Amino acid sequence: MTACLGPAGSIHQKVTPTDAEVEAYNASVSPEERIVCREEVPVGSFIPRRVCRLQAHMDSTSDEIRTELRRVLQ
Amino acid sequence: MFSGFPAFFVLYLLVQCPLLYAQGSANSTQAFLNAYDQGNIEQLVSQGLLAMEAEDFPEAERIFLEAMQVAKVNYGLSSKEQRIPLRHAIEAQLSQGKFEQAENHLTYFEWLNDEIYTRDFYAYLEGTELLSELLLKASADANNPLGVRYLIAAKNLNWRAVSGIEATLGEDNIQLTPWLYNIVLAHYYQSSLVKNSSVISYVHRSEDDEEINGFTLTMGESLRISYRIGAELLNRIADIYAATEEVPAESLALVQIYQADWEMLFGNETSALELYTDSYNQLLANGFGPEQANRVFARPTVLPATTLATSLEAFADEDQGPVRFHAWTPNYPATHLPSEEVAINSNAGAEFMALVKFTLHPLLPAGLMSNDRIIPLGFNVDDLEVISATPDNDLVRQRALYEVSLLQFRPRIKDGAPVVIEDVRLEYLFPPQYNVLSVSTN
Repeated sequence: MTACLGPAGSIHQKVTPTDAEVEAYNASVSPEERIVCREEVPVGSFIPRRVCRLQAHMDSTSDEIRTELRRVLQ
Repeated sequence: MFSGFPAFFVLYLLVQCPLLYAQGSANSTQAFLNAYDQGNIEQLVSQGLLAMEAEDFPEAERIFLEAMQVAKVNYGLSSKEQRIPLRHAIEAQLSQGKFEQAENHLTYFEWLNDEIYTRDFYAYLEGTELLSELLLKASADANNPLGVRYLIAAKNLNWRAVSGIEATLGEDNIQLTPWLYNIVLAHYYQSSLVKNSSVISYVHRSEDDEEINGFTLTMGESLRISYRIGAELLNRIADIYAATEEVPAESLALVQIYQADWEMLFGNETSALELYTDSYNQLLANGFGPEQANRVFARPTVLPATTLATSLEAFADEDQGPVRFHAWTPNYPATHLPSEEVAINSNAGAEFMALVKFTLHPLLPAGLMSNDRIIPLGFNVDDLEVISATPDNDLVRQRALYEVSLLQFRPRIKDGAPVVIEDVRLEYLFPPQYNVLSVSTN
């Protein structure tokens, strides 16, 4: 599912880091640069996909959604 | 003036007094300099350790901090010589429950060790080992509110050591293996924490002490990640041994036992048994006799084993009296004390112990459900019985039964097949800070 066709016609596998690689990376960088990888099921599909995101980006997105939700519910 | 004194005596005093003063002054300067003498560090550390033995922790802390100052004066502000007194000062602070001060000194230790990294890589590794032990010790203290954070910090520190070794000595260097195994163990400790709470939160702290909320994982998700990381690291250890020539012939077969242990700990018993028997067969293929191969499994071992043994010499014979299990901390149930360096300095509860006997089965008893699904039932420990307890009362006996039933054992493989061991004797030492009355058995 994660394979795609490269420009030269070769198949490139989209590889996300393993849990151990993520943990090793996170141990060496500042908290703002840490990444989180997890299985997610995208809307319109039943097939889980491993997605990696920047921790800080996840935090800010969560904050934005929380604020927006609060505004809508008021 | 000076009437009544002979003139020559007055003259003697006038000449001699400044000399005497100068001599006295020189002595006190010498004493002042001696206080910062290099040799004084060892003396102070010895004094401090005596104070620790006498459980005079405030005095011990004072002496160790003084020794640290002496080390700074003699060897420099970022000298590695500070680490031994610093380590003991932190231990003294933890023993007093001074967690905030201990936290500050742990941060200082980390800074100091990072400074050492650029100058002396091996000294950095030694410091990392010390700091990792201190962090584990801090995480084990049941009264420490930051316990989980210290466990994660210890794990991250081991990861940084791994990155350092990879960069300096290469990615397949054999020196990586104990550090990788430490991370595997840290994941086991983490999983035992998770089993006690439904979620685990990772809260990160930035440089300016502003807390950044991390993420929260459910129990299942966290356990799956820990399992995957442990399995991946054990595979890597196996690959490193396979690629290294100067290791004992049996190393690879023995590493496979640890891979099997990991499967066992996470409930994959069938694959664990396959790996155990495969490891036995590999030992035979390496030229060892059945007697030697059987010896690896002869003595019941509580999982996870605290060190990675990759030589047959490390495996003891069967008849050595009862298996001794020294529980580490109530924070990590069913976990053996990894080393004396990480033991909690507390005598609360340490006097509780029990001698038990039981039958050990290689597999959990299984039940067949109506839909043909096989489910594991109970524990692989059977006929559990307390022979004696200290203090001998029903409560301690009940707690001993419960705690021993949580332990997981490496099954015995004899002549290539899993077998039942009857009449296993185990001496269970309750952890310090264990409260017999308040532990829930649900």
